[in-house]
Amino acid sequence: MSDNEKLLRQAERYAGMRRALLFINALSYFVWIGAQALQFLPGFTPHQSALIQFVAGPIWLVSLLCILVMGVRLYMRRDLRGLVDDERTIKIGNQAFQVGYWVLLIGIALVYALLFCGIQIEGGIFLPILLSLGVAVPGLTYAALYRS
Amino acid sequence: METFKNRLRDHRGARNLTQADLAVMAQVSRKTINTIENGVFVPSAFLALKLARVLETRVEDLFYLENL
Repeated sequence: MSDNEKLLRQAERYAGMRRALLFINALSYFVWIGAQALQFLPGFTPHQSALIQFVAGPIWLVSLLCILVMGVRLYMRRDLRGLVDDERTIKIGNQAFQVGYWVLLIGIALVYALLFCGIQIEGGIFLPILLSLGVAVPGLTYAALYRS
Repeated sequence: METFKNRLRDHRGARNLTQADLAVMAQVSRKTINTIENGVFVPSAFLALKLARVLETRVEDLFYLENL
């Protein structure tokens, strides 16, 4: 195996790991914050909501720390940096934020549409869902687009 | 209507370079080289110039517009 191939495989391992961490981070954030809405729904108790948050919160925190540590390590590896973060990944990042923006916009429009139709929704239900979508969707979109 | 085409694979092959070699030389990911070659990703002018320099050719020889 050539030196270039070795270097590239290392970069691809980094990129794959970061993609997986982003996926876990986004999903755990969605569950962690979204679970706050559960206590307002019939059939769910605050205890169940707290239990889900108790599990998802640390997963989110650990995955976030791992992403940050990886970012610092990658920043220090100048030979790898360009091979992981190039203009294609920047484009994917921009697309992910755009998707997040549209999902939030549509979510807010849906809430207003429901209110317009006379359906009252508790702020405690839609706010955590919107907040979690706003953070989770860009992360999940990035992870999905990076693979394609 | 015009589409963006490239001869990156031909130029890379002529120099016996793998996608990995070209990626490291241009400081981009292998996937970026792969997606450019397959016409999925359109590189910026900066990257196009960089690839042309690495492959010791002119950017017009690497990339061109084709009428549909």
